[in-house]
Amino acid sequence: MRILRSLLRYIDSLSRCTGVYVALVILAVFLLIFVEVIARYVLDSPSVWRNALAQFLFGAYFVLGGAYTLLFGGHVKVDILYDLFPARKKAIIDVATSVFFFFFTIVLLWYGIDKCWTATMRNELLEEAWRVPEWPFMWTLPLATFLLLLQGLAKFIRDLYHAITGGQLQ
Amino acid sequence: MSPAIAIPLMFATLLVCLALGLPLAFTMGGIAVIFTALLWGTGGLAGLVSASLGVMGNFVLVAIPLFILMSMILDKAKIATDLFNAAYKWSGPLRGSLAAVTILVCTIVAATTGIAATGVIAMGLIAFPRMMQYKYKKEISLGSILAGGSLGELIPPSTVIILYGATVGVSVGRMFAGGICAGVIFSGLFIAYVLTRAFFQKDLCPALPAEDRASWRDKMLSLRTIILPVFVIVVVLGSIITGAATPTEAAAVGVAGAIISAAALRRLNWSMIKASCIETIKLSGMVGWIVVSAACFSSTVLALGAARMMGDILMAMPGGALASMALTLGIVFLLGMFVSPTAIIFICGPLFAPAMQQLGIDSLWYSILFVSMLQVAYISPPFGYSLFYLSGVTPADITIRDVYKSAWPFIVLQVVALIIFVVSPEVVLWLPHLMG
Repeated sequence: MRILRSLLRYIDSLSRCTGVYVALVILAVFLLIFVEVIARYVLDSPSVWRNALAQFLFGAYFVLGGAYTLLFGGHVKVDILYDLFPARKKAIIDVATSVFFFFFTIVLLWYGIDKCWTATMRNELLEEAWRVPEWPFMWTLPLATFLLLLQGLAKFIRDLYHAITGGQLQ
Repeated sequence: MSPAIAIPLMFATLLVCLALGLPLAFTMGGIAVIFTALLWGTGGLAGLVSASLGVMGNFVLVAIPLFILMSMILDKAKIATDLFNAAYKWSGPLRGSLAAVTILVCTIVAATTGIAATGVIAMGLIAFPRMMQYKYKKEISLGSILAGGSLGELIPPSTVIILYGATVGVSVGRMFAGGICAGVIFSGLFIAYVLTRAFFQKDLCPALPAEDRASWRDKMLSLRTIILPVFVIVVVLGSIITGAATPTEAAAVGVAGAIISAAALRRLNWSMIKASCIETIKLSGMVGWIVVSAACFSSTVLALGAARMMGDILMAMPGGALASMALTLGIVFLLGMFVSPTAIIFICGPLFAPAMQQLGIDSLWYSILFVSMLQVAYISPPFGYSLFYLSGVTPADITIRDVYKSAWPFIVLQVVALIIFVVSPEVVLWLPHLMG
C-alpha cells in the first residue's frame, strides 16, 4: 500500500511538472507567430520556418497538457445524472466507464508508437517549404498519450480503492 | 454490423457514457476505437493516429490557446473592472442604465475572450454587487449578466467558431464577421429589452441617486484606462475582417496587445504571465483532447457514411429545406440543454453541415445559425454552463432557481433574433460578404 501511495504521488507530480513547464510553450508559439507577422507584413522578409516550428510546438502543447488537466479533473463532462450519485457510487461508475478511457489511450499509444517508429526509420521529412524531419514532433503524441494514460491509471486506482473500501487513497 | 445499426448504436453509447459522467474526450475516443475495431478490424486503428496528428498540424487551431492566453492576460489586468467603472460613470439618470451598461461592457469583454466563463464570472463579481446596491431586482441583474456574459461564446474571438470552422470546413474569418453581426444584434436586443422594462416598471431598476452620478471631468478621465484594450480589440478583429491576417496571426497580435495593455496599466509582471499560462494550459489540455478524440470519432462516423445517411433522411422530410434546417437547429437546441456546446459541434457539425449543403443551404449562413443556437444553449436551464458559472460567483442567497428564472426572457429574445436571422439572412451576412 505504501509503495502504491508513493507511486500515485509520483504520477501526480509528473503530471504537475509537465503541465507547469509545457504551459510556457505557448509563449514560444506566440513569439514565433508574432515575429513572423512583423517580419512578413512590416519588414517584408517572411521565413519558411517560424510558422512551421510554431505549428510543431502547438501540436505538442495541445496534447501534452491533457495529463495535467486530468489531474485537476478539468476534462469537461456532463454531470446531470452523475451528480445525483453519492461519492462511492460515482467511483464505481468511473471504474466501469474507464474501459473507454483505457481502450482509447492504449490504442492511441500502441499505434502512435508504431507510426512514429516507421516515420523515424524512414526519416520522413515535412512536406512543406521547410524540409526538416517531422518525426521528433510526432513522438509528442505517444508521449502525451502515455502521460495521460498514467494519470488515468492513477485515477482508476483511487476510484477502485474508494469503491471497495469507501476510503481515500492519497 | 451494417452502418444502419452501427451509427445509432455509436450515438446511443455516446449519450449513455456522457450521462454517466465520463469526460467527453474519452467517450468519443473510446467509442471511435471500439467501433473501428469492430467494423474494420484492428487494421483501421492506425487511421485514428493519423486523424490525431492531423489535429496537431492544423494551423487554424493554433488560434485557440493564443486567444485564451490573450483573454487571461486581459482578465488578470482587470480590464473588465476598468471597463465597468468607466461605463458606470457614463450611466446617468436613465432608469435601467446600469443593466444596459453591464450588457454593453459584457459585449466588449466578449470581444476579448473566446469563452463564456470569462465574461459571466467577471461581471458576476463586478456588476452584480453594484446592481444590488442600487436596488435593482435580481431577475434583471442576473439576466443581464447571464445573457451578456455568454456573448463571449459568439462574438469573436470565439472558441466555438474556431472549432466549428475547423471541423466543418467553413472559413473562420467569415464566421467571425458573421459572429460580430449576430452578437451585436443579440446585445442590442438585450439592451432594448432592459430599457423598455425599466421604462414601464418604475421599481424594477431605479435610476442612480443624483449624488452618485459622475461629473463630466470624471467621465472623460475614466476613458483613459479603456483606450488600449479597446484598441487591441479593434486591431485583432479588424485585421481578421479586412482579411489582412489569419485568425492565428491576429491572435498572436492580440496577445502582444494584451501584454502591452497590461504594461501600460502597470499591472504586468512575471507571476501574472505565468498564472495566465497555467490557466491557458488547463483549458487547452481539455480542448486539445476533445479535438483529438472528436477527430477520431468523426472519422469513424463519416467512414460509415453517416453524413450521407443524414442527408437522405433530411431530404425525405416533408416541408423542404427550411423545415429540415429548422429541425436540425431544434435538435441543437434540445441537446444544448444537456450537453456542452463543444460536444454538440463535434456530434452534430459533421452530420448536419454536409446534409444542409446537399439541400442547397448556404453553409456560412447555416454555421452562423448553428453557433447562435449554441449561444442560446449556454443560458438554457437546466444545464447551460453560464447558469452555473453565475450561480458560483453570486452570494449564497441567490439560488440556481433565481438564475433559471432570470434566463427565460433572454432566451426568448435570442430565439426572436434567430428568427430574424432566418427571415432576413442579410443582417448577419452583410459583413462576411463585404470581405469578398
